[in-house]
Amino acid sequence: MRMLIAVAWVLLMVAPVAAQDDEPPPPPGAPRALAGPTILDRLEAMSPEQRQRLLEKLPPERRQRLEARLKAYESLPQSERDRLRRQFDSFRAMTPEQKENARRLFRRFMELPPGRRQVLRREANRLSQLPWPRREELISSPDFQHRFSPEERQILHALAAITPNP
Amino acid sequence: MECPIQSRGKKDLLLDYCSHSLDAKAAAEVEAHLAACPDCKAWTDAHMRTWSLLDDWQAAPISPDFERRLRERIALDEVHTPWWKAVWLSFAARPLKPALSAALVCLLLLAGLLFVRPRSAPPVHPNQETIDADRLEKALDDVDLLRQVGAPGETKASEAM
Repeated sequence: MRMLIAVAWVLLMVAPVAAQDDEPPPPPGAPRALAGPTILDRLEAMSPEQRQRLLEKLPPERRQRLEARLKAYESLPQSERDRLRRQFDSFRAMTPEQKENARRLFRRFMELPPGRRQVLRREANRLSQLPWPRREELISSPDFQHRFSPEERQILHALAAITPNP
Repeated sequence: MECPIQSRGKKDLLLDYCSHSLDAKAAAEVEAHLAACPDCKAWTDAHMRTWSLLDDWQAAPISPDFERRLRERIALDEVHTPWWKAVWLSFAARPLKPALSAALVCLLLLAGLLFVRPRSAPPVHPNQETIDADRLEKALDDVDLLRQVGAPGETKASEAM
């Protein structure tokens, strides 16, 4: 009896602590949510002096190349940068294998004819409006199997993965 | 005979003499020593007197209704004790070893859960972590790729890039 009381007491003390950490697991294939700023957030928050210190350590050629890339990124409209940051946030939440697979699929996507890319983007746009389980369901449906090749379905899956769950 | 007071660890001999637990020969040797050693004689006399007093002491008799009054007093205390105190006393009066062991095991399990369980990274201030150039370049590669792929919601703009 005393042991039961002691165990119940400990469980009562533990329950609220454990409950705080109980996040629902992400659906299969969905990127996990990661806390903390991305490297892009940190880049935007850097002062000119901090950026100078970062660049001055690099060899001149590499430094020029990186400066040009940073300039190109920063010249994008704020809405585009926000979108890229959101997508990058979803992308970095993938496992290293998922990331590598997504990179490969995105490269394959860029090799598709423009008209086909348009179709896939439109479909990905439709999928991005749906919650994760429904996206998965649709991508593996007979209709999608009829309209898209297995690789295109994988591309759709990867495109949907970089779109935050509505 | 070696003096029991002078030599360490031999005082027991005098105690045994005082309690009359030595055999006749050993007792005779001690008595011979006591006759010659005033220190041992004084020590032995003091002990003998104390023990003699204790032998003479008589404990006061317990009143005939002592037990009944004691039980009544305990019952009265139980009636007036707050419930939480009664619970605590009933719990504390018993040996707690098994319960404490169980509690300790549970606490260890809890500690394991808290420390081993992967947790999401704590929020970091944007400037708190320095940016590594390699990581930045890799991130920009990915950003370029994402930009080329375009946003599903921005079909026209992405196609135009």
